[in-house]
Amino acid sequence: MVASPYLHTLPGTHMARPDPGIPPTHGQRSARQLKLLTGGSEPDPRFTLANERTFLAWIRTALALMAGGIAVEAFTADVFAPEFRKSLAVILLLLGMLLSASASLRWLNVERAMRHKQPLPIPLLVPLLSIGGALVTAALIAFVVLR
Amino acid sequence: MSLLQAGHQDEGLQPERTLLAWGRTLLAMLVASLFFLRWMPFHGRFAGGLIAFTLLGALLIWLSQRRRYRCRVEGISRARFPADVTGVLGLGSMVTVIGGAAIWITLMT
Repeated sequence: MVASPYLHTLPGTHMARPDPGIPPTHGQRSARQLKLLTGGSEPDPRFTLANERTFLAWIRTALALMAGGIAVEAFTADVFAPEFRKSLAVILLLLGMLLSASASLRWLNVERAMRHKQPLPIPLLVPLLSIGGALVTAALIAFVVLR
Repeated sequence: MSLLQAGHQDEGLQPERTLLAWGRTLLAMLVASLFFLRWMPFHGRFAGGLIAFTLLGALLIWLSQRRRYRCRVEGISRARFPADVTGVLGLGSMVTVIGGAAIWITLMT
């Protein structure tokens, strides 16, 4: 790896110390960020990126649930009664929607907690997904048994 | 030599992993838009609008990938990376709107 001439690695971390002589480009905070993430200090970039990847993983879960809802509505006309099919599709879509909204809020709360060096908030997403998944599975089991 | 050419000193390859996570999300959005295609014969222009909106999200991610990688490499190299509020909350809002629109289409049409 070629070392950049203006980087100073912090001992034991392989991280660079910010050089005040370099004009910031992407390092500057936008107006939106100043409004939503006030106070505290910028956390380690690795933690910020880890938070971003966790958010993206939740978004992909939300998209998968939505795709499941669309699939139930579109492909199971011969299997389920119309009301049951519609209900199942709406539950999956609603779960996906709630998950994506909660993931955005959680990302913001985690970012704020890291800025203020506070403990990370307890995730509400996990029970939401578990309860939602259990509900859909219970509905499917009931359908199969009572059919 | 620019920061991007010089590379970064993070052995955990954080910028690459984050870039790949965005790429996987882009693929998930493409797959979701393909699922919406199945609604076209039943829900017509509503499904078409939803497909266009989902593809727009995927396109925006794709177009910003290079810039995103550069920002993260610079962030790691400078040990200072302001959180991507616009990208993250924009994507979150977009997916939430897609879910809400899909529910509306399911219930109303």
